[in-house]
Amino acid sequence: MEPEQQDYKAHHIELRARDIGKLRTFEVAQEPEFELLIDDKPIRYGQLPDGSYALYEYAYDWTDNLIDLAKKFIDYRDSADNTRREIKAGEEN
Amino acid sequence: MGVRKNYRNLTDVERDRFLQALLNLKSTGIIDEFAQMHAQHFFMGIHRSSHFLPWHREMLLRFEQELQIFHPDITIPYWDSTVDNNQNDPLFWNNNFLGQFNSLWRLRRALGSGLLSTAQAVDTNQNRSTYGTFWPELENPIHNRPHNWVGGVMADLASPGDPVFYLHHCWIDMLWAKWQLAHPGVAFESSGANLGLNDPLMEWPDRTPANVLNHHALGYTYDFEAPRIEGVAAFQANTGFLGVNINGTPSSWIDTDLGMMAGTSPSISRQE
Ligand SMILES: [Cu+2]
Repeated sequence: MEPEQQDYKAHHIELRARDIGKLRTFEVAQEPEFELLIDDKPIRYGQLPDGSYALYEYAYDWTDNLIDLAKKFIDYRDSADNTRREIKAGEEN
Repeated sequence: MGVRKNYRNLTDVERDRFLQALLNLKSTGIIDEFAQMHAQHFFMGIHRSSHFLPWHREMLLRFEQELQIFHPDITIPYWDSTVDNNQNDPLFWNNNFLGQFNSLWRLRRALGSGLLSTAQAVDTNQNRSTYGTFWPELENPIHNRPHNWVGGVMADLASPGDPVFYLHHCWIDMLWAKWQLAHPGVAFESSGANLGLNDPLMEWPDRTPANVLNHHALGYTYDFEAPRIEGVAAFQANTGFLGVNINGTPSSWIDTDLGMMAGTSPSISRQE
């Protein structure tokens, strides 16, 4: 993986290399080498046995590319937020 | 032997019993323990591996045994999301069934987010002839989609915090059982190192896939295979099933159709 930044639908996605020295100091070497951020907020992720990625918060969509996964998460989050708003509006009426 | 059935066929008494048991397991912290355990092992071979089905079968069985401490007749019902695929379905999402948990347990559901698989896709999957082609498709997309469709807690690492998890995984387990019965003797295939038939399952080092292949030996059946009194002879001929008790529950089984070694049921020992 390489550090990377992309804008997607008014969101900013960034793959940032972690400070390995800091990782050793704090003995958190199990943390992945790259940090994924959406709009500067860290998004936790992990790797499945075949190497594909999943997000902690959006755990049932798996891809080999973290930036693509971040985009899918953004789409999913938007549609889920819409759905919740519709349900709420329906309940209030 | 407990019969796991479609939630639609629960009697009022069975439904209320199940709901009360869930509330009880939440209050004692068991639901949160299961959710935490699932999150902890999420990336450690319980998904996207040949252990996906056996691990979740063992987990469900242990959860069912916890429910049975509340009432011995409880079995986990299943949700067939190819049929009940509407977020407005009152049977399922009403406050007198699983709807109540959304606000009660802060589950942040967003019913209807994304797609569900079709009955046709499930049929195609049921016709796969090897374990190695069967489980990956059953897991993704058939199993993955309902997690996202429900959304909120159900879409994250700790999804067993939403009771829908157990009904959904009960359906997945049923599809595995159905496939096993339709493909007698088809061998378990390992998807990688430490993911074989006799390798320990995460969390329960004394349990392996070999222990759980035969769900009858674990003490339950599914309604699709449950005998009707009037059809006993035909059922015996087709399945090797020996007989029924007066109430229609199986008295014993010959598991030739499962064609696999018998499993044994785990005994729950909880660390207090
Ligand atoms: Cu699942």
